[in-house]
Amino acid sequence: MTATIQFETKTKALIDDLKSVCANYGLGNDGNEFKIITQVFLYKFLNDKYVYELKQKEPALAKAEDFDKALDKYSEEDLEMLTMQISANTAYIAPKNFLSRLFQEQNEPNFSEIFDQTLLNVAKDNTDIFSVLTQGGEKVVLFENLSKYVTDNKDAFCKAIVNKLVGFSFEHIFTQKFDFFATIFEYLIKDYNTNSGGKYAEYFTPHAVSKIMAACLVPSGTEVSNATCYDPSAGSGTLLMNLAHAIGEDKCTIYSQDISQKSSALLRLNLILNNLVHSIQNIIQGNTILSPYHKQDDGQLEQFDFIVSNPPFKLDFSDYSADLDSKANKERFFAGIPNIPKSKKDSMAIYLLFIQHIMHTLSAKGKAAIVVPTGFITAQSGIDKKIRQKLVESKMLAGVVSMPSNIFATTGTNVSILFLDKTNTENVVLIDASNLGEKVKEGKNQKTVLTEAEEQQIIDVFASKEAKDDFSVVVSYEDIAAKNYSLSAGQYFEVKIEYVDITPKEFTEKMQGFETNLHDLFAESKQLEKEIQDNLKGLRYE
Amino acid sequence: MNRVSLKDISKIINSGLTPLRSNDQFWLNGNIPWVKTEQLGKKYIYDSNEKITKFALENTSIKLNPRNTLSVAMYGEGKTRGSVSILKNETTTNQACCNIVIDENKAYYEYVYYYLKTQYDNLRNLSSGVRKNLNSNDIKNFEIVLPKFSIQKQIAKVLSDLDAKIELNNKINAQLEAMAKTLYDYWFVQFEFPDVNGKPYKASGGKMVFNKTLKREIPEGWEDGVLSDIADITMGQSPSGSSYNEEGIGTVFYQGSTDFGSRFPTVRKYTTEPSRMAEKGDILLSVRAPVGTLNQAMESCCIGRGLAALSEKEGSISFLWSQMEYFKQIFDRRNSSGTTFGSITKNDLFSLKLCIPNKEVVKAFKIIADPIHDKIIVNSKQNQKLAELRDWLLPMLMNGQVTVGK
Repeated sequence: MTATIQFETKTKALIDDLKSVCANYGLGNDGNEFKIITQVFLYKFLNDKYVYELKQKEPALAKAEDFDKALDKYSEEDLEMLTMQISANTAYIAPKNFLSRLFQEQNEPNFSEIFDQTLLNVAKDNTDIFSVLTQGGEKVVLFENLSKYVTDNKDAFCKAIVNKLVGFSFEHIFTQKFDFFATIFEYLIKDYNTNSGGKYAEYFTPHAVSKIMAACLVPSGTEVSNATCYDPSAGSGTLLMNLAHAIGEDKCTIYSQDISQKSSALLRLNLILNNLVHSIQNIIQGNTILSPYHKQDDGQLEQFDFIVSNPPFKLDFSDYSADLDSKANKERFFAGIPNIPKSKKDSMAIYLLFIQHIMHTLSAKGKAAIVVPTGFITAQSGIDKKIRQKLVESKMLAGVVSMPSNIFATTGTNVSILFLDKTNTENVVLIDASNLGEKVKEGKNQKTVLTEAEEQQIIDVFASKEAKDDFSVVVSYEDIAAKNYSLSAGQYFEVKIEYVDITPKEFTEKMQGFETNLHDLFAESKQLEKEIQDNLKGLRYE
Repeated sequence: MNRVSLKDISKIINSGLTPLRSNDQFWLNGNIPWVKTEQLGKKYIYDSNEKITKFALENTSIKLNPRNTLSVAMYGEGKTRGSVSILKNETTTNQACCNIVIDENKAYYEYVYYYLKTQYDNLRNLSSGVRKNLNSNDIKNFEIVLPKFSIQKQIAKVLSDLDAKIELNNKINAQLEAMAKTLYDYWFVQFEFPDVNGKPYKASGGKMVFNKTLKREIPEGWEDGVLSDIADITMGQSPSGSSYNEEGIGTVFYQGSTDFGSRFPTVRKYTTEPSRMAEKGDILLSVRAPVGTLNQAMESCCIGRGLAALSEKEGSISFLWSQMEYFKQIFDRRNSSGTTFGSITKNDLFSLKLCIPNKEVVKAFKIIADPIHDKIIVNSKQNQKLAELRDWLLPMLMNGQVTVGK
């Protein structure tokens, strides 16, 4: 435990150092800073991972006082043999591309060129497994020419970076678990994960939400193997990582698509940190709604066992909305495509397309969890209602959890999690968690934070399908149809009126009290009536 | 009769303030009344919704106003600005209230109160600035007509007695309503209606049977049912807007609960194309937020889409009224539990589940409860007449058209 905290502190310190180097060379708040930070960090991670794996296979190397010198004794063939024993999920770093080599060469003239070339070499050596594909077929390799982002003192900049990297070895962190890497990843990207004026906000899904989604989809004790997991709007991949962790990283394959370049780069980093390298080839950068990438051999869209998603709620897609109205999309967007409003185009309800896309790409035994605006679960008309109607009529619901307001610090929209399950023909559980949590200030924003016990309460009630007063109800598909397809738990709660029984004696006393009061009031009333009549007699009109 | 400015007959005229909201010491567990303008308008104010602490009184410049201070609302673009009340207890106020402590040797506060009531429009016209606020200087210099002290007292008495009777009727109605509710709850919620021996049914071991639909035990022989079993229900429907008028042409028209009073709605609009009608004596139910509020129709009238009209199938309203009040508690619970409960549909209303008692018991209940409701109705109607009389006399007493003689 203490070791974990120590690693965490050191890793965070390294990230801070890298950021401060960038700031010193004028890259603070520059759009390119995150590319440098994430790529350099990744290079360091892959470098140390390869060294770590080599040492695992060859104890002699582990014991050597000077690792580089010891390695020099190995011929190229020896090294190749060793590398082949290492899992393909570890990137291959040729000895000339080691970080230690870079460190030795830091005083060479034109060091920045050596630095860039080293990273490009590593990227080239690992193109097959580590590249992300765009929908246009381009391969986005691991690293790019980084020093170009600095205008002056390129050599000094690269030197400073390398010096920070050699300070602390990652070799010991590879035995750490999911939570460690989740924390590190979040720390690494926290400055670059804001909605800085862009229309597409890659909001980081809060822990509570991603944890609840994964735990409700894969209750503890469930055995899953060979599962396919998909997120059509993956962002940096938090939801997929949590899901993969709940299933077991070695028991599932991840698929994703996201329109954002930045997201795809971050998602790859996340996969590498989380031992999911085998899935990198399924990470697609592209427009899921317009050109879904993952398809079966017959051209039909691929179907997945698990789908998680926190799609954008509102986005202007008027540019390609007409293109969606194709024959091929009739079935996929069965409930319709939101109209283009005359004004406020940027508030087009794109989440409705994502929900329909997910329903369409869910396998026959598939399960899904989708973050939706809470308005979706009760809307009385339109596409929202058509979708709910279909969910009920085709019996593919598992439940809904309505979250407290401000669970996302960055948006005021109330959200619910919609759980689909094609195998659930029985009852549906609806949970109203909107009263849970504690409000805290985060920067300028109000945020609601759930305690671990509250998260567990939601997960347990969902798993056991338990009805709890003013918290959850268990309803049949027929019940939902009768309630106008509303998925709001509050509308199904039995309303109890607290009523305290009174004894016959209390009843008699109470009635006598009324009697006495009324007696006095009636007497007073008579008196007043007389006064009023006398007053009126005294009035003179002039 | 001479004209004097308010400052000439007052000991103090000032406004209140709002102690710093963020300082808990000013607010937490406070027990000193602190009135805001939203309360001003009715004659007497005894208590306030919010309270400040003694600490606030000692550590800010806020003043405690003595009993019988007049308070005039200075802010409020709607109807609030210009309303006046008498603070019946020692009270503080916010900065939007101008508080006038009348010098009892120079004028009678009740008279000044009634005078200012006739000056509502003139007071409002003093306003200045973009937000049309009054300021306390304008109020200090506001002139009023002041007859001899003895005459002030006589005039005030004529009006006060009318107001006192209205207040008294409201108190009587509150007692009567509470009594009807106690009886209904005892008989139909707790099931302690008189059994064949005149003893409380359940407490005397009367047989109870579990009812699956209602999910609770009810007396043997009673049944479950829905609202439409005991009531004829008409859902409102708004006629076209062009048919509305305020000149009294056509039929009285109530749009929704905004027209509601304590028991009867206030007539504001008429329509020449009445669609759905409520009959005299029908229960009017608000079906849009706030769902569940009740009133009674005092004439045949047209109802808009915010209302439904209900009449008991067996005549008289006492049982249905209590039943609807019981439902209102359920609606209120829902409204407050955070679930938006904007409206109730026809189906939901018709199918509200209820327990249908044995006919004899309902009959016995009506024998007791019907007169209670009749008296409430008489009192409410009397209050309308009294208020009309007061509002008719008020300006004539103030301008000397009508005098009080002996």
